[in-house]
Amino acid sequence: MTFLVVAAWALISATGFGQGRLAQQPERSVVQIITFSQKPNWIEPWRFSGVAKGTGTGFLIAGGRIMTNAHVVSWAKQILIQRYQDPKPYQAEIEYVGHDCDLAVLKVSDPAFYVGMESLAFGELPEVRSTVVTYGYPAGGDQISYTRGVVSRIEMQGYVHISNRSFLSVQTDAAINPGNSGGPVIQDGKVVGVSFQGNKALENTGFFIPPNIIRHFLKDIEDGQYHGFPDVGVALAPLVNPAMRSYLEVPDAQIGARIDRILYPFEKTHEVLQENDVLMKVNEYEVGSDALIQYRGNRVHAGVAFDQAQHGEVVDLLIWRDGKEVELSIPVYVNRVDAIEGNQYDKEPPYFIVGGLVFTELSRNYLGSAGGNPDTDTLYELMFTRYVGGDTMRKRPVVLATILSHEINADFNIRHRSILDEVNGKRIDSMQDLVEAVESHEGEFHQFTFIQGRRVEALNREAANRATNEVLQTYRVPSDRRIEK
Amino acid sequence: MIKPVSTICFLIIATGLWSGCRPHAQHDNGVLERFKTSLVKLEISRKSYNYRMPWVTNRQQTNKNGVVLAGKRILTTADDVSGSVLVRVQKDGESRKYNAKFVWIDYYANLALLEVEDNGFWHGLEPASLADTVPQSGNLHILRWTSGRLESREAEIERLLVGKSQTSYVEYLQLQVTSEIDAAGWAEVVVQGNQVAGLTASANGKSLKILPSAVMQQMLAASENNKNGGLGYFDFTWQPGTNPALLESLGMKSSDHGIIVTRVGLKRVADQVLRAGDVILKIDGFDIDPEGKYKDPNYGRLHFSQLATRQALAGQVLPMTIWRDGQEMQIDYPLPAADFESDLVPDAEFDQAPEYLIAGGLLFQPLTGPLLAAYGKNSPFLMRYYDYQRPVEDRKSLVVLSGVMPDPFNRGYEDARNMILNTVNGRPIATLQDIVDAFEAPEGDYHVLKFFPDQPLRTMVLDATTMKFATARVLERYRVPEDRNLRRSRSNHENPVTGAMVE
Repeated sequence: MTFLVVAAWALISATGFGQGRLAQQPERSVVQIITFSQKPNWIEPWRFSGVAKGTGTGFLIAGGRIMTNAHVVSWAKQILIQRYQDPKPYQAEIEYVGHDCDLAVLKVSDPAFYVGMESLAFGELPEVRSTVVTYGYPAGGDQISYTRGVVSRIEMQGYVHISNRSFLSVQTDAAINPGNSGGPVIQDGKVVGVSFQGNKALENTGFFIPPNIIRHFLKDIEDGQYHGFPDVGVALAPLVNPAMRSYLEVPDAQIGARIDRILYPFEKTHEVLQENDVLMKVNEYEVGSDALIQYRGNRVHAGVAFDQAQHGEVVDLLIWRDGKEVELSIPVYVNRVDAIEGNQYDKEPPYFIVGGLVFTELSRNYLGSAGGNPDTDTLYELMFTRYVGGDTMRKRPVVLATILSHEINADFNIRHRSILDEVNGKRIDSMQDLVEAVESHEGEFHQFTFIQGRRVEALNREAANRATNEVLQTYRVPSDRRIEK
Repeated sequence: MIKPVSTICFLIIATGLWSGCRPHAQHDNGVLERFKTSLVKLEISRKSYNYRMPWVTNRQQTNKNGVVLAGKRILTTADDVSGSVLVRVQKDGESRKYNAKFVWIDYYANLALLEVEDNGFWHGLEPASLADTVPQSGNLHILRWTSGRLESREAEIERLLVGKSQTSYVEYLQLQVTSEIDAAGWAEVVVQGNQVAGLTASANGKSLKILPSAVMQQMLAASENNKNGGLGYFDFTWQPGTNPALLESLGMKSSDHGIIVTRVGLKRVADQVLRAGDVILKIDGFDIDPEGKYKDPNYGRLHFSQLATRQALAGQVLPMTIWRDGQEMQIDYPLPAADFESDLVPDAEFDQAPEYLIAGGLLFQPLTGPLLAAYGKNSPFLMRYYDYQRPVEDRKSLVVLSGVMPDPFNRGYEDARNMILNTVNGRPIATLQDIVDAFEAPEGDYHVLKFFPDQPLRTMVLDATTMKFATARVLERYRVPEDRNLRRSRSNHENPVTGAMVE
């Protein structure tokens, strides 16, 4: 689904050229990235897929880093980089990767790689209707390819790599194809974006990641760790209806959007904000009644203003509450609670086997592997419980991934994809809970209760221990578990 | 179930393009002659509704078959007779049509009776004899009037099964047969020898489900005795007890029979005599095996749900042997009557126009099976979720804001739809009448609507002072004749589904 677009800028504008640190020949800094990757199997998480080869594009930036898309290097076991018109492949390692914003930086240890290469500088968000050129190594040939297009529009878009995050994104009509991913989009000799995705449903559309997102990523890693984009956890609703405006005693201007709800957990947000607070300003950005802000000439979702903050930073808000303005500050943090709802990468899935029952964490990855349509309970668990909070919400639901056949489980009546409610009478909120509930149990039987249909199954505890060992041998499973501490 | 409208078949035959529906020429004429005087053809004009636009009434025609019973009555299935306004009946392949009237419809059982006032109609007709047992072997024939001729098709018995009624969740014994007959499933009459073995209830390709005469007789007898009236239903879900460790973990020594109760009262019709975790060992004296089967003295291994209708009717008490809290015990299970209206999300509505309420352009409807069905495959996930199982203990039913007819009054809410209402002006909402009542007590000049926390929007505020003008404007602009169709509250409501006299 995600294919990457490499946009090459043909720099035609005479005024733009030759000023400052402009790359005269940006293609010399654009490289092809060849990856060999291997994904885990989410149903039998000790197994891995065959090795797949993939290609993408990258470019040299300050600090000896090669910037590319996260999706180019996800699950990579080996990364090779091919310089412009240079036959020698260089081995690269991932330095930092941000799966939410689909960016990564790589390092090459061989100093010879950097000889004769100039790092590209970043420009500012290009203007709508201005021209950009993509550089990259798309499918259909081996040599570098350039395409030119105009900036069609700039707004918040879903980032398909992680699938459940939206950030500012720039749409262009420059051709963007698989293999373009991670390539620079250049205007006036500077990088104004990283090509990253297309939309098959639309014609002549490619998307690139704008400079503010790239800079956020680079600033985030300055402390030696990538945290990600923080999230404030509110659902904004447009404040258009006159009765709603007057009910909230908001002055009848086109300003202010209503906080319809606060998601869970977001403890700090629950402390500071309330439902039906009206968001008037985020930092210096005034919020319109359509829940949009004016950002560098574009009307974009107010979330863009929050996306400027780093993990743990404070955002200043102007709120309308009880008929008057209130100034508030709110710290924002990276939210990982909804990680299971999006695609997860580079983390081998956890599992735990008891008596041939293979349990893993419920995730989008798992459901994708399991195929078919997930049942109603599973979808609700995955997508909706964080709106409700409280006991309804499990941190990390545990699912029966599959059953490795053994006489001990031959008469089970539980389908795979069922979600655990309780084990031995203890509620299961995570893989750790499961391991604890099984290993601390001293009764004669383990009892498993599932959410689907409230079905129950049981295993004789001692027989299950023996069966686990037999199952591991039969199916060549290296260990009965992979659990994060 | 695929049930093409039978008129298609008639059309094709009339133009002579296709012989697929013609009777087998070589077929034994004796069978035909015997039943010619007992089979009739029905043409039912009826009202049907579009739940997405609940104020609209459509007209539909259903062509079905029926069989003459003693006492000048005609028996047919209840499928697609809801909303009937005019019933015409033909006999003996004649073109003359007589007016008929439904006198009894049981949508749970899927059975209906008609009467014809014109005595001339009955001249030459004879009641058919209904078989007392369900045939398990031998040849059956499926009969119906087609273009003035009696069509007969052979049918081969596939199996006996306990399955859901075509028109409800009630389960009873049915016969599955295969036949070459086309476009069937409309109460075509199934005969064996001199007797009627059943009526077809549905068809899926060549496979047909038959409502057996033996079961129909039981239903008819129940209606005549006018007892509780309905068929019984086991209001619990269960899982097989095939895993010996599971039964042992519950303290049982032997594991050769028993099923485990997983949830009780999902349809909200049962007394909570059973509990989740109970192991059912016997029902009505029959051992229940770990897969939920019992050994029927007449028909062999059958699903235990058959015991709810086998010899019992709603209201009777079935003895059960269960295992609970480490010991065997006897309980009396009062067999509940099926009742669509006690369900949180009723599966079906019959013989009534859909309820709705329009206020300020907002369309409110009860969350029901027919509403969900009207969305087809695209039914909203959260509505399906509540239909499926979401326990909502504190209310008997749910109301949905299903859509908005745009007007300046509801500006900004134009895209709101398919959201389950929690409260209006602080009052919990279970029925449309609750909304009407809540609108009588606005919060100041405002109506404050709150939706369930998992819905896409939490809060909506409307101007209480101008709403009635907006409602009038919307009705006028969108050509909606009435702002509401409300029924009396459910508890006062005479059960319209079973034993109803249709006007």
